[in-house]
Amino acid sequence: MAEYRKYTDEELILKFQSEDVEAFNEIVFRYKNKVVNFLYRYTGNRDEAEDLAQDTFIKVFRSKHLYKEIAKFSTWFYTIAVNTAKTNAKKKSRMSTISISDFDPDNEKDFDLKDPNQSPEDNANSGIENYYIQQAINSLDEDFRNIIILRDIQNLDYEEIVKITGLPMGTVKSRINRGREKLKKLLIDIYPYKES
Amino acid sequence: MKTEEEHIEVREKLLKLPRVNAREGFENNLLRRINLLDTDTVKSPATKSSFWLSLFGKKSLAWTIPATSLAIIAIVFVGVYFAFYNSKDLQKTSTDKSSPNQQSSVESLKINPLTSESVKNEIPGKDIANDLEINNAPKVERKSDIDKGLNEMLIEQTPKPIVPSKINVIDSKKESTIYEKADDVGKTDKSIKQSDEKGNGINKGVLKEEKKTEESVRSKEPEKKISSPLLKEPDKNNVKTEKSDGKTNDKQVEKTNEKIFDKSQEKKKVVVKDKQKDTLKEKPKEKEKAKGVEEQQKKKEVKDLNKESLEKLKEKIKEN
Repeated sequence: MAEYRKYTDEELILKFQSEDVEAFNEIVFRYKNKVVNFLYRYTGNRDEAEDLAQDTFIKVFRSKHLYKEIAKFSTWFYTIAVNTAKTNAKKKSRMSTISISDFDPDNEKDFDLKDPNQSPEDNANSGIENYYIQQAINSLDEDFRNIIILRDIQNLDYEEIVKITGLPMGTVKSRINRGREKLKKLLIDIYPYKES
Repeated sequence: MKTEEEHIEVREKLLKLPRVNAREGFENNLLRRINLLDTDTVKSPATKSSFWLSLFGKKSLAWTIPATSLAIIAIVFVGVYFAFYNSKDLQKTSTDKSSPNQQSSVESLKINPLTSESVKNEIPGKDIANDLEINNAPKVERKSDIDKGLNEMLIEQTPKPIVPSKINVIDSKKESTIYEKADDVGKTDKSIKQSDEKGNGINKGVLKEEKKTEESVRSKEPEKKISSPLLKEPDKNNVKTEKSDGKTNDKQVEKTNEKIFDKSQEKKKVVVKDKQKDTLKEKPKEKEKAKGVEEQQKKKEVKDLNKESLEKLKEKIKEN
């Protein structure tokens, strides 16, 4: 494994294309945390994020021959991750969701249940603030959420985001700007006492 | 950069969010899932061959084994039964058609060889019966024989035994002269050649030969009447001359008769040789015509010789 640390991502994927499984293991080692973090911020659920991360790695494993040296491996990898996340979100949206407030017409208060998958360790790590920030990110639209996470959490370049999303640079920038404004508003609504 | 400066606080908050790392068993789970995918891809072709296992592999479906085997046997039995039934129908139809009319029999005979062969090919175990039918069928080959109603007599009408017997009969009845023997040799050669060449059309040739032999016998009967006294006359004349005339006349007459006889024999031999050559070379019809002409010429010559001899004898007698 130590031998493969010196190789770049592109070299590793090329080695993996020539049936070198150790190169794939190195890619997993390098990208597993990044992908899990990205997908956790996208979904808001750690288990789901890990499952989706494994799905992305399986897709890489099965479609390794589709990679070409034209682009960076990270962009190709993130495009796969974004697409898996989008397809998962579509599947979830197809499932019927029922609000609990519908069962209690007298009580008009709308309340949210805590995520059962959200462990107390996670809550302790992120803290309350992080929890509300994550809730604000989850409340964003998909178009803004992707780009905000890629830019402000994963800290990717604009050009790379353009390649991953396939959108023009102007739309990417505008969406980032608009997404941040929405987040600010959401954080004020959710977490108002800090403003005051 | 201005936009990022505007929302620096939000950006800092997002960047400060703690990194969520993958759990310890992430890689193992990933490898397990990849291995499962590989095994699924390997097992997928094997599942196609599990049809028989799904039928007979389960203990609850054990009764299907004898049931399916019995069903297969029943289907095979029914198939074989119908195949035999159809073949019997074909045979019956062929026999029914042959009985009422000869024309229908001809049609059935034309059809039967094909059908019998096809049935033979189709049905196992019917070979012997079909072979018997097939052996009967090709014996009726000629339409002329079928039209005459000689279907059943064709086996007895073998031409070869007839030809030599009739020729022998003619030879025994006749007093065969050199001419006739030569003719018979030629005819037997012809008959043998015809029999060899024509094969099936022997009967016609035999009939023609019979007619020709009869004609030749009829044509030769008067010759005997003419020729026999002439050949024997010298003896009679000699007796008469010995009794009536002197010795000189008798000697002269004897000499003249001997000369005439010798000449006639030589001519006959030459003619016979020519005939034999001609018969070997010429075609049968032409030979027959040539023989007829030659026989007539010979008869004329013999007549002329007889007349001359008679005239000479008469003159000599008158002189004496």
